[in-house]
Amino acid sequence: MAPSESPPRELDSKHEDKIVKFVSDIRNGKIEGSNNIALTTLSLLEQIITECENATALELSGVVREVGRRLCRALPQELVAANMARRVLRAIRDEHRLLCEQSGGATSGTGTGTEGSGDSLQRLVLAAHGGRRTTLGAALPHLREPLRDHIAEVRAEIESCTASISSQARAHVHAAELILTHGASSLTERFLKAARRHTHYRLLLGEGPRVQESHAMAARLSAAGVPVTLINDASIAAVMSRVNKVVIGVRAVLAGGALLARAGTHGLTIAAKHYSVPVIALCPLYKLSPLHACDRYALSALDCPRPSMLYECGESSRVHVECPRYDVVPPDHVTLFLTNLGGSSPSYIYRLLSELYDPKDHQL
Amino acid sequence: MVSTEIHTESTDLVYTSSKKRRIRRKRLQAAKNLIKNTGNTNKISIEAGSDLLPNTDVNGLVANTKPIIIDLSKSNSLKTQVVTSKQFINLEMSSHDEKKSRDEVLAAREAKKLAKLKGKNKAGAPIEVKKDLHTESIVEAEKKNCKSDLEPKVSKEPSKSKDEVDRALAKPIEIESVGDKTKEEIKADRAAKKAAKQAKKKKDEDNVVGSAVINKPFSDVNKVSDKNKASDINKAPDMTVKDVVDTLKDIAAVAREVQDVTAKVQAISMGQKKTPTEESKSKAELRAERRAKQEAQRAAKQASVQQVPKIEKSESSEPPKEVKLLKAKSVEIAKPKSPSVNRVNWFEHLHVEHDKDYLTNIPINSNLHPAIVKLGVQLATRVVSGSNARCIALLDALKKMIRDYSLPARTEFSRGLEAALTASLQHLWRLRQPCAAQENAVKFLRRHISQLPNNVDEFDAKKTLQEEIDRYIREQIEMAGEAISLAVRNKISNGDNILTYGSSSLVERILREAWEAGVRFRAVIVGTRTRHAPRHMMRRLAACGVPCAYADLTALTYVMHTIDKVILGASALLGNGCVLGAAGTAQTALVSRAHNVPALVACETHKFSARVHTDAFVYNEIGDPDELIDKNDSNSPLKDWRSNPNLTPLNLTYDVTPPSLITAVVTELAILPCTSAPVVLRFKLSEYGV
Repeated sequence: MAPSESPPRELDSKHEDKIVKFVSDIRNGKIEGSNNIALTTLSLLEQIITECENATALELSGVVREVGRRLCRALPQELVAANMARRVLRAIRDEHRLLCEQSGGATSGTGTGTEGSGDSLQRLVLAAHGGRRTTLGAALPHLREPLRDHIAEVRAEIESCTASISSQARAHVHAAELILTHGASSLTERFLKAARRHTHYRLLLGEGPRVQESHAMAARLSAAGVPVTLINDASIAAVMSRVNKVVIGVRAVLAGGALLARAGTHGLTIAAKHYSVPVIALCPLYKLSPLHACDRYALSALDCPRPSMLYECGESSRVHVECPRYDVVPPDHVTLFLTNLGGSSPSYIYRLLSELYDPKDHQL
Repeated sequence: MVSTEIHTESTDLVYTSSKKRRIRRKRLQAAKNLIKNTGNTNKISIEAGSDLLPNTDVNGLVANTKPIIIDLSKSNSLKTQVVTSKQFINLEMSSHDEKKSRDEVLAAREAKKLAKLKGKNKAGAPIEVKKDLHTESIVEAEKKNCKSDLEPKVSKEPSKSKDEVDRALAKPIEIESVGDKTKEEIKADRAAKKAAKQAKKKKDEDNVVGSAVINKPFSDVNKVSDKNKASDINKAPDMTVKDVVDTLKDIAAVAREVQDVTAKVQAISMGQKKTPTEESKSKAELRAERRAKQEAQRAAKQASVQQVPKIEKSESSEPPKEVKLLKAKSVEIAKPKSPSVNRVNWFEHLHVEHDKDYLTNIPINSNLHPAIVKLGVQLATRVVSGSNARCIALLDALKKMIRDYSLPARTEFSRGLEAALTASLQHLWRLRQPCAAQENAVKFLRRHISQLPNNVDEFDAKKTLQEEIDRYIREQIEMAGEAISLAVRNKISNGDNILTYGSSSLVERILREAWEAGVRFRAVIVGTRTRHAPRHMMRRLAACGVPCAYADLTALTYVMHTIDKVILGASALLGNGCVLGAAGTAQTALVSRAHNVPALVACETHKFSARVHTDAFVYNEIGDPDELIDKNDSNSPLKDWRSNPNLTPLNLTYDVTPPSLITAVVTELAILPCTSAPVVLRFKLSEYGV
C-alpha cells in the first residue's frame, strides 16, 4: 500500500495524548539514547495496537503509519522512532500474510512470498503476473496476538544488539593496535570495553563537539583498564597516520550506506581515507533508516553554539556561529558496518534495509 | 701565604675532597717555590698586609693578591710565575664558591678593583710598561723576536684551566680587541705604548719576562673579579633594597680599609723596588712613564666611578624582575607536572613539558640579558605565540642584548658576542623550541656576526648588527607580508567566502587589507575549543567591518560546501614541500581537498626551512595537557588525570600537511607550488646567504 493510497487517519485523543507525552519526553531529554528511544517507541506502538480493539490489518497499519508520521514530523532528528514504526508495519504485513496463508492455504506460493522478504529484481519479474494477491483488507481476528509476539521479538533484538555487537569486538580489535574513536557513544564504549577483555590495545579518543561526554567516557574507559589518550579534534589528522582502526558510533545509517554521525566525523573519515585507515561503524539494525541524504541540510540540525563560543564572549554578538549537530558521511568513507547480524559493507546496506522494512513503508 | 691559608681554611668546608687535595698540593708547591725564589722583602710585605687586614676572608684574599703581584714584579724567575698562577687559580676556585656571603663577595669585588688599580699603578713604576697595557708590551716583545718563554710554559702548565691557556695563546690577537676599554683607557694605552716603544730598545729579555709575569696576575685578577661579579649577581635575587644599601655602605668601608692597607704595602714595596730599575731609565723615559701613569690613574678613576653606579643599577633592577618571575613560578608550581608514566610513549622523543620545570628556576644570575629572560618566560608561557611574533620578539630581545653587550677583556667582539648569543639562545630554546622563523633569524644574525671584521670597533659593530636586525624585520617580515597580502588580494574576488583556520598574523593582515582595499568577501574563521587566538582574530576582523562567521573544527565539513577559497597560515614550509602548521591545518586542508576547494598557504620565505618531515611525529611540541581539560566544568571527570596512569591528554601543537593537499604557497617572491620550497631555499642561499 503506497502512502498516497492510505487516507490521513484520525487518531483517538488518548493516542494523541500518548504521542504528545512521548515527544515531549524526548524533547525534554527524559528519554535519551537511540536504544531507549527505540524501545519506548516500540512500547508506545504496542500500547496503541493493543488498544485498537478488533481492527483489521488495514486499520492497524493505518494507525501505526499515522503515529509514525506524527513522530517523524515532531522529531525529525530521531530517525529511530520512524524506523520502529516501519518495523511494526512490516510486522503487521508479515503476520497478516502468515494468517492468510494459514486460513486460505498457499495457493500461489510465489505471490505471497514476494510480499515479505524484499523484492529482488528477479522475483519482481517472476512475480509480476501474480499481481497483488494479498491485501490487508481482510479482517483477521487473531492478528494482535502474533503481532505482540513479533514486537516482543523486535524488542529482544534491540535489547540484545549492544551485546551482540560488542561480542564481535574480538574479531576486529587486535593486540597492540591503536584505535581511534570520536566522541562519546554508549555502544562504542561497550564495544571497546569488550575488546579490552580480550586484547590489550591503546585508544585515542577524539573529543568531538560534546566535550563533557567524551571526557566522562574517557574516564570510564581508563577506569576499565583501557589506556586512553585524549586528543583534540585538531590533532586527529596529525595522529591518523599511526592509527590502525577507526571505530565510530553512528546516529543513523542511511540508504545507500551513508551514515549520519556526530559533527566532526566526516572530517575524521576524510583523514582516515587519506591515510587508508579502515573505518568501522557500529550500527545496530534499528538505526538503519531507508532515507537518502540528498540534501545535506535535510538531516542536519543546528546545535546550540555555546560549546564553540561562549555567549559571554564579546565577539559572539557580531558574528555568525555555525554549529551543526550531525555530519553525513558518504558510503565510500566507511569500510565496514558492524550490525548485530555481523559485518556488512556499505554496499550491502540496501539489502539489509529491504529485509527489515517493507519497501512500501520507506516513506511513511 | 698566611693570608691565603686563612682564606682557604674558611672555605674548606664547602670543598669536595678532591678539590681539597688539589688545593693542598698546590699550596704545598707554592710554599716551596716561594721559599726558594723569593727574598725576605716580600715576606715583610705579606706580613704587613696580613697584619693590617681586617678579619674578613675576602679582604684577606684581596690582600693576598697584592703582595704576590709586588713580589712577582720584582722577581724575574719563571718559577714564581707558575706559583702565582697556581695561587690565582686557587683564589679563583674560592671565588667560585657560591656559599660565600653576599657582603663578602661584594666587598671582595670592590676591594679587588681597588687593588687592581693600585697594582697597576705600582707595577707601572719599576718597569715602564707595567700599566694595564701589558698585552701590548708582550706583543711588542714578541715582535722583537725575543724568546717568548711564556707560551710554552703556560701551555705546559697542567693545573691551568684550558681557558687560561687559550687566553695566553690568543694574546697576540687580543691586542686588536680593546673593545671594552673606555676612551680614556685607550688614550692612556696609546700614551703608554709610545713610552713602551721608546723603552723597547733598552729592554733585555729579563724585562720581557718580567712584564709577562706581571701580565699574568693582572689577567687573573680580572678574571677573579669577573667571577665575583657573576656570583654576586647570583646572590642578588635575595636582596632587598635595604640590603643593597647596607652592602653599599659595607663596600665603602671595606674599600677604605683596603685602600689604607694597599697604600702601606705599596709604600713598603715601592721603596725597595724602585731602586734597581730606576738607574737604567733616561729622563725622557721617566717623563713618558709619568704621563702614562697619570693617564692610567685617571682612566681607572673614571672606570671605577662608572662601575659603581652600574652595579647599583643592576642590583636595584633585580627585585622587580624577581617579582615577575615569582609570579610566573607560582602559576607553574600550582600544577604539579605529570610523571613520565602518563606520557604517550610514541611521543617520548618530543620536547615534553617537563622543561617547564626550567621555567621555575631561570638563572637570573647569569650573563643573560633581562630582555632574554623576559622573552624566555613569554615564550614558555605562550604569551608570545605565532611564528612571526616569536621571530620579531626574538630579534628585538637580541637587539637589546647586543646593545647592552659589554665585551669582556681580551676577547674579539664577534667571538664574545657569539658566545653570549649562544648562551642566550640555549636558554630560550630550553624554554621553547625555536620555530623555523626564529632559526632563520638566528642564522642570519650569526652570519652577520661572523662577517664582522676582526678589528671592528665595538660601537660600530653593535650599530651594524642592530641595523641589520631592523632591516631583517622590515624586509623579511613587514615587506614580505605586504607583498603576500597584495598577491592574495588579487586572488580574492567579490562575493567570495574565505575560510581560514586558526589565527595567523599574516592571514589576518591579508583579510584586513583586502577588505580595506574594497574587496567584498565573507570570512569564515575556524578554530578549536582550546585556542582562543582565532576568536580574537575574528573579533579584530569583525571590528574592521569584515563579515565573519565562526565555526568549530567539527563543523568544518558543514561550512566547507559554501567556501570558495581556503587561506591558511603556516609555521614553516619544509624542504619537501610539507607545511608545518598549527594542529588542525592538515585537517582543514584535507577537508578542503575533499570538497575541491583551493587551499592557499600564506608563508613568507623567512619561514622556509630546509628540514624535512613526513609526519607530525618527527617534530612536534607537546602543549600543556591541562588545556584539554574543560575549564568551565568544575568537576570535570578528567581533572585528576595525573593520578590515572591509563589516561593521557595529548595536546599537539603542530601538524604536517602534505604538499598534495595544498594548491599553492603564496610567498613574497611568487605564488608557487609547495614542492618548490627547495628552489626558494636555494634562491635565498644564493641571494642572502641564509
